[in-house]
Amino acid sequence: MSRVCLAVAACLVLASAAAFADPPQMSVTVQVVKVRATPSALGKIVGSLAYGDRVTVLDQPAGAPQTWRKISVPEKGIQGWVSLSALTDKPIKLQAGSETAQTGASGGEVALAGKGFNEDVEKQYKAEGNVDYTWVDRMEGYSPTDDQVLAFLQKGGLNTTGGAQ
Amino acid sequence: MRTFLRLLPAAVLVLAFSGCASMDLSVGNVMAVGQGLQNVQTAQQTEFTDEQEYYIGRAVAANILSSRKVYDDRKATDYLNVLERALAIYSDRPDTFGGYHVLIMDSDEINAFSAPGGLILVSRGLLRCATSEDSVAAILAHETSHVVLKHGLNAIKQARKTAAFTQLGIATANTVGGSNVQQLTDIFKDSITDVTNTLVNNGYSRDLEFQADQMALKIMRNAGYDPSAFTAMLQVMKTKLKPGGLDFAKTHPDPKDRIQKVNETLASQPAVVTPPQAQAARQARYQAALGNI
Repeated sequence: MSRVCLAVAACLVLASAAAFADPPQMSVTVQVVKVRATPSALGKIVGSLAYGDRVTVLDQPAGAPQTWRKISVPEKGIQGWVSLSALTDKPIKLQAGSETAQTGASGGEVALAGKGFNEDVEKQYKAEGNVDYTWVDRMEGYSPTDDQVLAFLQKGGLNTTGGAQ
Repeated sequence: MRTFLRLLPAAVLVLAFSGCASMDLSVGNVMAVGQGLQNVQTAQQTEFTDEQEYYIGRAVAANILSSRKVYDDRKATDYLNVLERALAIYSDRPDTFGGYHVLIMDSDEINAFSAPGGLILVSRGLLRCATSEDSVAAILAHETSHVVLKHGLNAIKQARKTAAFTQLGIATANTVGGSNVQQLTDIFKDSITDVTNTLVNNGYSRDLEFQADQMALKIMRNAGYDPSAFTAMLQVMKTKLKPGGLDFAKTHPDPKDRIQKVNETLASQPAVVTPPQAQAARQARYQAALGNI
């Protein structure tokens, strides 16, 4: 009997701890990512998140693809799906007002954002070397829209699920 | 037992509140421990972030392009970029910090370079090894796989990573001063040299190339392309590569070895049958975009 009581008590302790646990959080690790209504790279866009934005990871519905996460960002009124490749479980803290990540946070919050090889290093590298970034900047401008990609897939008789499994 | 059951609701409340109390009491400690762990994590960073990968990739691409002419054809480049996105969304890494982008190098050599983060440079000579959209997809899927698998990033010597991450540890203070930027830039230059030398001169190991081939077959199949077009492309490449060349002849395994491994995989999977109408549509747009490449 005492074992049963102990087991029940242990379960209750675990349950109460779980009830107080914060929902898991992740950070956006790419410059910009679209939040989708469905777990598909071609799903309807319901919002957009930027590098460093924190998201709350919601419970994955049964059968949801493992490569996508259902998330919410209450302060932006966004809820939807983001590809796991655009998220990290490491905290990213940006300096207020900085376009790209800088090092304005303190202690552990600094994490990895804007550290190391960043815009400042690239500027210094350009200043020292004889390297021309013109074509690199231009090639980054080649960014087809979702509509273009979807039409391309449809006309070519290709898979239009957009990565959803 | 009955007594226990009667007391159960009270026990729940007691445990719940004691849980709260213990949580409150431990929050500070947990945060302190967490903070410590994060600091340790920062100091012991062992992998580049997507952001750092992005800046490395830009510099690598800029270096490679500094000695190569670009084939500035809007239609062909647009076509390759839509095709690239159509493939990337079916990869294990649809999103990188700055996204995937393709540029054509104006060269007869059979060559391609995947800079970290997704900047893909492909030569006209390599594109001529493709005779269909599915074969072009094979080329791009292989290059995309190098990005997904971070092969370029992993070419950076461990000593550079250690030096870079040590600087990051030092920079845990609130600002990155000029001297820190200078030191990081020095490490950055060496890192770019590591990646560029690997891409241009040494090539990856045979194993990494075979790995990229296998992942490319998967991406093609996921997207709906016929992966047997990979073999067709390699067959053409085999006839065009010149022994002693400084392109894929130097940096990639012999096409016949790649064909063998690709065919082994294809033999173990169901064939992809493309409806004639879809085949015709793909061929028409391939011809329109790359017919004169």
